[in-house]
Amino acid sequence: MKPLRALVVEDDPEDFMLVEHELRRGGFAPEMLRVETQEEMREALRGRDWDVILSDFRLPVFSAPEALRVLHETGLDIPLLIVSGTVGEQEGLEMMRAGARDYFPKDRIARLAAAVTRELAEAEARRARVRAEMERALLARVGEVLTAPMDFEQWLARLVRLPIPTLADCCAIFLCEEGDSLRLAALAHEKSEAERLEHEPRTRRSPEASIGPSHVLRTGQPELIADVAERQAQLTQDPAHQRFVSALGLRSALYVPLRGHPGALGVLALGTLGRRRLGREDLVMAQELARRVSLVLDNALLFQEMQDAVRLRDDFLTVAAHELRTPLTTLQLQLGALTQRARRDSAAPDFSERLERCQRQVRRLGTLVEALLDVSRLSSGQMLLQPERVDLGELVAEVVDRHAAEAQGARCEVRLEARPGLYGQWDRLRVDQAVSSLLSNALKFGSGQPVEVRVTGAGGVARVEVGDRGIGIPPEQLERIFERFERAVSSRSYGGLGLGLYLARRVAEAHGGHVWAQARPGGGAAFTLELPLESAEVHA
Amino acid sequence: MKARPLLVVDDDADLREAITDVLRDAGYEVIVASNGRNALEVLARSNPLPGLVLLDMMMPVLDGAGFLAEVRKHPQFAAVPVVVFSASASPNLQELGARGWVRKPVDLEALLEVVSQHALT
Repeated sequence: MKPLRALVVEDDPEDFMLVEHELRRGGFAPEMLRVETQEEMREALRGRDWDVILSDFRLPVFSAPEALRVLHETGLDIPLLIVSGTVGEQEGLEMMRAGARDYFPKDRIARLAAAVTRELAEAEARRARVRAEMERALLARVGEVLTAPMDFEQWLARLVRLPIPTLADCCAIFLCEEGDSLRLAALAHEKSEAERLEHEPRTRRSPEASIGPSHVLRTGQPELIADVAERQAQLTQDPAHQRFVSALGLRSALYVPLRGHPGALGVLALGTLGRRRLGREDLVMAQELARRVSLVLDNALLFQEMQDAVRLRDDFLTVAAHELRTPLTTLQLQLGALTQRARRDSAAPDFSERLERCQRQVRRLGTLVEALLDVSRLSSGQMLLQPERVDLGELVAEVVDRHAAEAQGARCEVRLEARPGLYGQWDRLRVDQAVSSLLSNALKFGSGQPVEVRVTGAGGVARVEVGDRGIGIPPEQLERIFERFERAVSSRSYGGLGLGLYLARRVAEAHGGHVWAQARPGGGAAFTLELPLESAEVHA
Repeated sequence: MKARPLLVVDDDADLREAITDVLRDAGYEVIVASNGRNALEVLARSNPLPGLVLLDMMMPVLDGAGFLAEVRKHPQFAAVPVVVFSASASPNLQELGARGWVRKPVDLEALLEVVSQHALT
């Protein structure tokens, strides 16, 4: 026997019994209610769910057309069939045009049960179609929100609005926070005033809770509470759940865990009000929703973690830079002052020369410290430039000048050939750093031989070429030497951190230029730094 | 009129001493402070006011930015130029309320040049 909830609009108790008899004969175990007036029918529709409505055509104070109107007002999809001794073919067809599903004069009542079976199947199919369409539309909207670029909190607030009113009457996202607490991160409710309810956004997770968000987090299993009122006693165990339910006046609730790479991220909660109740099919949908939300939530959290790590590293680098530079400054100034005094007081002949050597080493230490700090900063993130109008020839001449002592030490004659008037919008310090590392590199590997520096410009770009006659670079190493910590030769024979060329490349790229190395015909290597010229200079 | 001294503010005693030596060698009178709070006290009892403040940015008690914010509240100090030791390649001097900057490590010549450029006599 199939259960059937039938609402019967009928004034005659005998006809009511006849209908019941027919339904039983057709294999139903009907649960029936008889109503005679508009008010009674409204009350019955408000009070509970019905599978079918069977209506007499004419009643003393009511009628089938009025019953149909009452049903349409509720918006419910319940099949209504006319069962009446007085309904003729003409009226029957008219009623079907108005929305009745079928009509049965009393002489054809034997076919009623079969018609009810058919109507139930069709109503079920209609509901499934509507449901599928609702789910498809909801997931599409969720997809739109998940991929929209927005602030994390904004994103949560938009997300909890989406399931309302199609899937549920309210929706909330609880997120796990440090120290075992749960934060009500976003809440949307059919009645917007409920969203403004005074609530403490954080609660402790309750280890004893046998239902609710804390329980779902602990078990990792979704939870459907079809009738909240029945489980009122257990609510007190989970403060988060208690607040969610009692503040909103929920009928049913559904909790699904949100999971990501660190484990539990939080809980997605859905709730209904009034007569509506969440069921098994909503559970499947909520799980799909939770899966998609978790994915994006996980990414957002990873991104946040990464940003925190970068901030931490930057803070460390700022402190490290300050700590390393302070003693270098002291040394540099003291050595400077001592050198001056040694010269002035004509101290022992090699005294000032030794002090100068000390100064050179301190400067070198300073350069290494800067390079190390630069590389740590650049390992993740972009090089920030502070462009200004720079005369390249002048800048290169300054760099060559500054390396005079180093060149002398390496027994290299530096030949500079610079075209004047090559201007660009460049970061002076960075370009200086790039040219310095090319020159240092040439002096280091081309010792004892002349080093040629040429500054040229053509076709919108300026070039600094630094050529040496040193040991050269094997062809397979020409690219690798621009990698971090890379060098073409063993680190034992030549000093340095292997960072200069890497930094030079980063500088060039940050300016939209290039740097590359070539083997020189006749031995040695040539390095070229190419930078875009100021646009006016292209035509000059 | 008495010559204006230079005020050197740095929490590192050795560096303070090194800067002081260099500036004295170059003929300046130098007074020192070990942090921003200390520097404000020194300023308050200076007569005449320093011709220049050489200011470290990272210091305990009151850092360079905090010192500059305090100085802005006292109009009588507004005329004293401040040169900061900056970690960034070109700090926003206007925002800080400073006149010039030097980057650590600075060598003797560069330091003297900045000082002579900004110091009031």
